[in-house]
Formats: sequence, C-alpha cells, structure tokens
Amino acid sequence: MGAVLDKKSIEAAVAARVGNLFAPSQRVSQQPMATGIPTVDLLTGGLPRGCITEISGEVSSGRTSFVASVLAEASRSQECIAYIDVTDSLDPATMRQAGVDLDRLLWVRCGGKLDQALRVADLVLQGGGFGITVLDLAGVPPQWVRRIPMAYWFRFRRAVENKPCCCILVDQTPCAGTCAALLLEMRRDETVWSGPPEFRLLTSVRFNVRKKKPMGLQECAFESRAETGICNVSVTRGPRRVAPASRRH
Amino acid sequence: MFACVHAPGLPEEQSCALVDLAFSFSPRVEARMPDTVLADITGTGYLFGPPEKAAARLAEEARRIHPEPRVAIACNPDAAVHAARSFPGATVIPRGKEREALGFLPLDYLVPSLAGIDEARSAEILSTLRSWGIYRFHELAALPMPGLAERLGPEGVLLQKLAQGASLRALIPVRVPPGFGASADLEHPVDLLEPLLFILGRLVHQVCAGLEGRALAAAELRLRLRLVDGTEPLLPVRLALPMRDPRLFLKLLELEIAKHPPQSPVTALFLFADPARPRVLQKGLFTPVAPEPEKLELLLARIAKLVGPDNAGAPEILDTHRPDAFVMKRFTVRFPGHEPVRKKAECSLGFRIFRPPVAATVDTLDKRPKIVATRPSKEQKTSVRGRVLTWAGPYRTSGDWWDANPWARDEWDVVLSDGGLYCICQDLQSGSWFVAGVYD
Repeated sequence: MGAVLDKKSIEAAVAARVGNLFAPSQRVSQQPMATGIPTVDLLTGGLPRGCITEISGEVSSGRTSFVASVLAEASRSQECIAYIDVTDSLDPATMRQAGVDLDRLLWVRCGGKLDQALRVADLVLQGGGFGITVLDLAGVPPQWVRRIPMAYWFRFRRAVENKPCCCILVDQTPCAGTCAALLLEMRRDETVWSGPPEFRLLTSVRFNVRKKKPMGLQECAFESRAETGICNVSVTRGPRRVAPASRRH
Repeated sequence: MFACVHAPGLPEEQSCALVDLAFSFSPRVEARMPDTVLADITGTGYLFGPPEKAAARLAEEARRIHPEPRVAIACNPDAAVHAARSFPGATVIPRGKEREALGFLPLDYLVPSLAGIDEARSAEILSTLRSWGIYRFHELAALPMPGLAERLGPEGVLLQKLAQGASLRALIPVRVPPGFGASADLEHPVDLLEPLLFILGRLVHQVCAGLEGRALAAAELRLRLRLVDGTEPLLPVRLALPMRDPRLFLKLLELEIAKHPPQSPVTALFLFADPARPRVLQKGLFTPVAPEPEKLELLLARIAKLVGPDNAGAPEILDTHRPDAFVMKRFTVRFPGHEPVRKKAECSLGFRIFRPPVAATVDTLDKRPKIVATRPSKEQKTSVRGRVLTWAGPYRTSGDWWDANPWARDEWDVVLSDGGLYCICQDLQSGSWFVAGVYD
C-alpha cells in the first residue's frame, strides 16, 4: 500500500481510456475578427478571438472611432454585441453612423459603478453567445482602474478562451497585463479643419495605432472623417516617432 | 353513439352552461347552435349504462339549465340533432332506424346548416320541394338521388341525406382555451426565500408538465403571492420568446422575487402561465454565434437585477433632431435569415457623450471661448480644463420650440491644451456653458 504512483504509470494506466492527461490543452485556432480598418488589419492580422484585446489611449486618441468600426464590422457579419458602458458614454447616433446595427447591440449602462460593470462583464462572458464583448473603462480614472484585481482579468481570459468571442477592453492606461493577447496604444496625431476661421469645420482626425503586444509590426495610422468615412493613410514598419512640434492642432 | 341536448329558447349567454354539461359526459362536444349541443358518447356504456339510461341522466342534468330540455341519442349525429329539436323529452333511435324515426317530421324541422348549406339556398330548395308536393322527411328521403341531384344540385342530395338520417360527417369539436396554473396553500407562513423556492419549484414543474402535455410553451408567467397582511402582489415575468424550461422559469421567478421582495410572510402561491405555440426555428449551417434565447433571458434578468431594468437593452434612436434622443428597448436575438447584408457605412469620428453634460466655466474673448474649465464636484468625475487652441463654431441647433421642452444651444468644437477635442455648448435659454462630450 505504500506504492507511490508516478506520472508515467498514471499515464500508462489511463492512456487507453482518456488519452494524455498531462498534455496542455490545445488552443483552438479561430478566424480573427476584422476591424474594418485595412491598415490596422494589416498591422494586427485582425482581432484575435478567444482572447482579450486591450485598447488604451488618452482622451481623443481614437479609441471610440476604432471600436465603432470593429462593432460595425461585427454587426455586418450579423454577430451579437455586448457593450458594457461603465460611465454611460456611448452615443447611439455615432454607432449607427459608423454602421452598427443597434438591434444587435446589448448596451448595459452601469452609471459609473465599476464593481457592477465587472460583474456584468463576468455574466456576459460566462454566458457566451456574443461575438464581441466590449468593456468600456475609458471614462474611469486610471487610479481606479489600476485597483482592479488581476484575478478579474484572469477570469475574463479564461471565460473567453476557446470561444468564438472577442473581448475588447478600452481604457486610458493598460491594466490587463499578461491577460491581454493584443495591446494597442492609440494617439491622436493631427486634427484637420477646413474653411476660413469664421466658418471653420472639423473635417477629420488622424490617429496613430501602435501595437505594443505581441511584438512585430509596430505602428500604423488611420484617419477618421467627421461624419464621413475612414480612409487609410499609411502602414509603417518599425517604430516611428512623430515630433510634437509637427502636430497640427 | 351521439347524444344531443336541445334547450329551446335558451339565451346565448347561457350556452356555455350547456357546453359544460356536455363536457361532463364526453370530451368531444360540438356546439354549432347556441341552444343545442352534440356530444360523442361512443364507448361510455360502462359509465352511463345503456342509451336509455344515458338519455335519462342527460335530461336530468339538463333540467338544471332549462325546465324542459330535449335529449336524443342516435348513431348518426345529425339524426340525433333532428330528433332532439323535434321530439320532446328523451328519445333513443336504434341503429338503422333513423329514417323511420324521423320520417314523419315536416321539412321545416330540417336544419340545413348541419350540411353546410346557407339559408337562402336551403329556402330555395325547400320551396321547390313544396312545389313538388314534398312536405315530409320520408317523402324527400324516397326521391331518386340521380334525379334530385340533376334538379337541385349537390345541396339537394345533402338535404336528402339529412332527411334519411344517413349523413356522413365528423364532429367539429369545441376548442376550450386551456388554462395552465397551479397553486399551493402553505400550512405556515413562509418568510425565507429558500423554502419558498422549494414549493415554487413543484408548481413550476406542474405547470410545465401541463404545457408539455399540450405541446405548448409559456409566453408569460404570473406569480401571485398571498401575504399575511392580506395583500396579494402580482409578479409578472414576460418572456421574449415562448419557452418551457422549468429550471429557467424557477430562476427567473427567483430573480423577480429578489427584485420585489414581499413585505410580509407568504401564506399561498398561485402560478399561472399564458400558453403560446412553441417557436419553430430552422437554423442554418453557417449562422454566426448568437446567445441561446433561454440563456439570454436569464442573463438579461441577472443584468437587470444589477443595473436596473431600464439600463440594459438595445438603443433605439428617436425620430427627432434633439441631441441624445433615444429609448432603450428590450434586447432580443434576431436569427439571421434572408435579411440583406447591410452595406458598410463609412465610419464617422467617434463621440463620447457626458451624461449628464458637465457644467463648465468658459472665459470668452470676442464671443469665442478662450479658457474652459469644469467645476469640480462630488458627482462630476470628468475634469476638463485647458486653454482653447483651435475652435470651430458656433453652430446653432434648436428645436421643439412648439413644445413645453424646447432646446436651443450653440455648439463649438474645440481643441484644448490638455490634448482633448471637445464639443462645448452654450445653452441659449440660460446662457450657461457645458461640455457635451469628447471626440475620441
């Protein structure tokens, strides 16, 4: 009775019935989700499914434009979308203008309560069935977001693993750490105006997207037109810095 | 064997009592006339005895509804109807004797609606028959069928079959809308959720079994609680799609009770379900992922419990120019069918709205904003502060001036020194400034 079973003897005993018990589970490769912005798709290969994608940036850095484009692409594929809005900042008109089918959008307004938003996100991810789940922490002060325990991100990552669901986290500073498979940092490069000063109009805004994780192709840019369209500007290979003095406000 | 009960002159509003009487003798009842019901009593000999005893028992029960009911039992349903409407008391027509029993009835006692013939056509046929000297059932029954068909058409043949007591047709049974409900009276008042759910689970399974037996599903559940203080609150659970899962129903009812907890202990429970046809859905092979309706219902109920029922759903933009005008409607899954794929619209610059708008102090120069600063407060988590580097505006928007709640404001798109691109507005009625949102 003092026999100690080692790993090899256990494997040999159950191999015929259940296969290799100690082999790591194979991740099911899934087709990535297009963002609707060709340059970003070229940079990232699309948003990976079954993983957390984190989009961080300061105010007016293009996060909402980017997310709207992704949601439009998802609703075009007739997928259901869950948008967990911590600070109740979603503009339905912007989403509709971007091409999002609002009938496929489940919008949860959390009224600034971060704990409620995290619980709702957990319910949605555990329940499954949504092609994209967006947790919008962009309006939450960074010091509050940094206090979110890492256990939440591990739990969310586990919930979406091997599922055809894309979880997008939008925040001001990266907070998901190693749990995010893709981390994009966004920055506003240039704001383009048109017309004389008395009749000036906001025409477009150019944003820069930097892929910080995983390593590879680094940056790209896209331009978002006010109430018109996105046109793609350039894809750069390798790190590229834009000198602050050259920015046009 | 068919039994017919005729209550001459019975008001239409009392006809349901006659139908209930017939249902107590047979589950297959036809009620095409308000004062006459027909029941199929085939195979009930062991219950009610021979036809004579069954007729006597029927007549006795019918006297509670009408003082002089007429009952007839025959092997042919239409013969039973004609006999009940023509002969007083209880009548039993043996098999094969229908023609003989009904023979001397005048043609006026014929009920053409039993053969599906309308009144005008039957009046025409009867007039023709009288002109031929045909006044009785047996005279019509004796006419040669080919000649009758040639002269009076198929309606004439059908009337002849009625007169012979040889018509062939199936009963058109009355469909009683089923009700699905269950109740439980508690021996002792219950004020804890766990034992209440234990009892409620039994009721839910009972109701679901009834639905399953009729191949139906529930469109809405209603739980009524009788409390110690005498009140009876009603807790409705409206389902987006007809369902029949007892575990899901129990969970939804638990969430509803938790949302509206009773104010005093419960002494009785009543559960009702509105039946509906279960949904039939043929999914395609390549349909995209969507949440299952049962799971979605539970998810929405749990989310509503956390954030409130009005804060979760699909937004619907209202047909107005008023900024930020929308309503939240219930989120349901639309299974992709043959709907056309929406052409990708050109994306617009994203905008994040501040709800409520953030009050701001704006220093102006030559009527243009120069410095913008929001007033810090406990409720306002958003802080906007900076010098205006570039501006565009003002662009005036207004509306609903004919209404009690008009709006009018000047909008500016500004780039501040804090790096943000904001939309600030000045309300033209109050003159106050606020930050409507930020372009992102």
